[in-house]
Amino acid sequence: MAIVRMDKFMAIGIDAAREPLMTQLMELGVTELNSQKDRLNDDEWSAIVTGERRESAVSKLEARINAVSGVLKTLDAFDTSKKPLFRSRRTIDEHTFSEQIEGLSAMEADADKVLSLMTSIKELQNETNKIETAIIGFAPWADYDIPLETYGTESSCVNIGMMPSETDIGIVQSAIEEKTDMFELAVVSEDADSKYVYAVYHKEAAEAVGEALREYSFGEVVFKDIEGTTADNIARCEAERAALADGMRQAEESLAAMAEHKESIELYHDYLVIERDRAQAADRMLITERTFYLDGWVPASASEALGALLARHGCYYEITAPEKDEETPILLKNNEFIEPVEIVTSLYALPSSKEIDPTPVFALFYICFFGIMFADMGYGAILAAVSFVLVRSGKMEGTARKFIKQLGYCGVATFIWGMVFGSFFGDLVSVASATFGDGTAVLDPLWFDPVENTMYMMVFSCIVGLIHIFVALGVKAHLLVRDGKVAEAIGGVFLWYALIPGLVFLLAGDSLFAGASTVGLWMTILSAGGIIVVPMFAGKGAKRLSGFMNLYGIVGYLSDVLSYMRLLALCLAGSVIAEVFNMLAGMSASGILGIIPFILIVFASHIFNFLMSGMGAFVHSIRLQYVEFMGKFYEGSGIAFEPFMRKTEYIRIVKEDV
Amino acid sequence: MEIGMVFGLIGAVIAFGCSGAGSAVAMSWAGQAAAGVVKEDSRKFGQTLVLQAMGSTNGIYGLLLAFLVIQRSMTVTDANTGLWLLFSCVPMGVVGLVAAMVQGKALVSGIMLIGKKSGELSKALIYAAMIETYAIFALLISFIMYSNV
Repeated sequence: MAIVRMDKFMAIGIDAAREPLMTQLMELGVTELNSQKDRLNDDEWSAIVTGERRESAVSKLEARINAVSGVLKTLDAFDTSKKPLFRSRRTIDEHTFSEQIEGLSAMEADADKVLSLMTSIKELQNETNKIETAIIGFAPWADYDIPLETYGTESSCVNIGMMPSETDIGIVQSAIEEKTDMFELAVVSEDADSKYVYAVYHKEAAEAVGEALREYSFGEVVFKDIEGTTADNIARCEAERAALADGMRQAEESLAAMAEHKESIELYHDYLVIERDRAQAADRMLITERTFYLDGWVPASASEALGALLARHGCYYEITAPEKDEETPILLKNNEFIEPVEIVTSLYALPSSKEIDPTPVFALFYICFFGIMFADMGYGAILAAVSFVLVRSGKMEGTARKFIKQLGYCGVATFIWGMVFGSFFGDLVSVASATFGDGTAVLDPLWFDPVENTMYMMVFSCIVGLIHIFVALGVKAHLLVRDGKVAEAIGGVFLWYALIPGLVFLLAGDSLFAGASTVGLWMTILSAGGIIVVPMFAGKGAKRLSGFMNLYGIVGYLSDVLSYMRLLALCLAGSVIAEVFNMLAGMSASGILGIIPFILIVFASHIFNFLMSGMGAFVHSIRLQYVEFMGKFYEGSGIAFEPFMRKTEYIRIVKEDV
Repeated sequence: MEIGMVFGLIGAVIAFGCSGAGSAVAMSWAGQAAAGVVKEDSRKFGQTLVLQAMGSTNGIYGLLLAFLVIQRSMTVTDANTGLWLLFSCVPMGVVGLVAAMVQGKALVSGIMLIGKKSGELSKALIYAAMIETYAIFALLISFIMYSNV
């Protein structure tokens, strides 16, 4: 279906062609190169070939890439130009790219310059921190005017230190006075924790003073290698700090000036990424003295281009279709309409090459379920319009673009179901008309209003769910029949097609149509009997009895169908919340000026409901696909096709002629 | 106050009180985990915020039911109808409370997942949304009971 068919390729070439071939393979970007680890561990192979590892080159490039990323991040902070909401890669053509790469050394120099500026800013920052710590250390001693290197004279000692803040300095003084009076003890300053004190005393009194100070937990403070008074030191530090701040400002200015080189540094970054990837790919090759060998996968549609390229480089090559049952890397390809929904599949897991791509089968269900749960003309129009504008702007690519585009589909579905259920921002039309007009304007649903006819909506949800489940079973039957397991397809799928409606007829009875219960009874008996009997003929051993187990699956189907009640519940939740908000807006509006609070409340509350209900519709529509639909048949053990190509981050290189 | 109205209002208190409180707890847990992740990488603010917002849905279901029941209670006079309204709020209240809190735990794990690995937002969202299934069923049952009053 929509899994791209892959071909295997292998090529042998001579050494001289290797580098140019790798470069061009990368530019072509359609091949996945296989790892050769197994071959290198194989004795027969390793006798003739060796692998090549360019680990040191790769790690060198890696380190450089990290540094340049850091440079770009820093420049981003200084770039004053307006940043777009979604960053897109700059598009340049092949020719311009190779031309600009010639100026590589200039880019390298630019990046280095930014790097050195970043380093010096960091150093300046460190210095500033140190100075600030010093200033904090000096601050309590600001009023202490003895030079800090002075610890005494011939006959006296000078000590400074800290005491706990609760110490009463008077008590300490009198304690010392009892022994000697050749001392002076005073508080310089104090804060919440400590008292900062100095003590001057005669050498003869040293013992007495020292003992008393110890008793009152005096901790000596020593300023190592510091000279001059505290005030001098603080002034010196302040001056240094100002000088550092100056230096910092200059460095930042030069950085800001470098911001204009951002584009070329981005190009340099991507150049490095390409180089790294190519160096990394070297270990996917086997080499001898003069030749190299490589193999891998290529989409069948690109086989010809690959063959031509290999031939041009004088390689011997083979391109073959994969063997039956061989697992190939998975690449999904769907038409333009289905393509955006692929992200729902890849979010779950890619199909293996033996399975089919479920995307085209569930795409419409996914979109439709989202629409039923969100169901509002206003919300749908907004969602579709936003998506349309974003996709058309061309600024987005890859998964982001796919995501936004499929949301646009969901928006259209939301609008349509909004018409069906008669909802425009909830019941905004009738509320606005009742508040400001004569109350006659009412938006009538095309079909029915789920809030009024809950039971009707419930039945509708179940029927939609049954269709969804039946389609999933159909895919399962298709896969079983394809693999020749017809009996399993009959017992596991076709008889259920009869059993489930049979049960519905039986339970709903004659209210559906005359004789419904009789028809239902027979359908149920026959199909249930079949489900039990078929494995008895088709299976082997104990498997013959598996029909009874399978019949128990009826419980599973019941809970599956009930799960579709979320279509009803989320639809109700969304529209009733909208109605409640509209009611609040209507109550707040009175008179002609009332239109202002009315609009404000409507605006704010609907943004809220749009986001919350929208998120709910998205995750629950996805859940119905994953659990109820894909659970029936899907394994999803595929591994994504990862082509060897230029994976650039900032620029997109396009060929001139396309 | 009429006795029927009292019953109805008690129902609204149960419906919103329980599920609202549960959602508040869930969002608080998610918010704390998110702050931890954003501390490491501030670009993940948007993604974690979406997950935290997910925690509010159970409370919104309760809010919705409470609104409907309050409006309805204003005109109820007899005890029978009031009791019926009260009972219709019990599924939403009980399941809403429990579902919101356990969803909070799943959200915390989802936020951790995003912290370790970017680009896994939708998976984390879906794990949390699975739990909500039962809050949705509870709302449905409550709504059916309510609309059959």
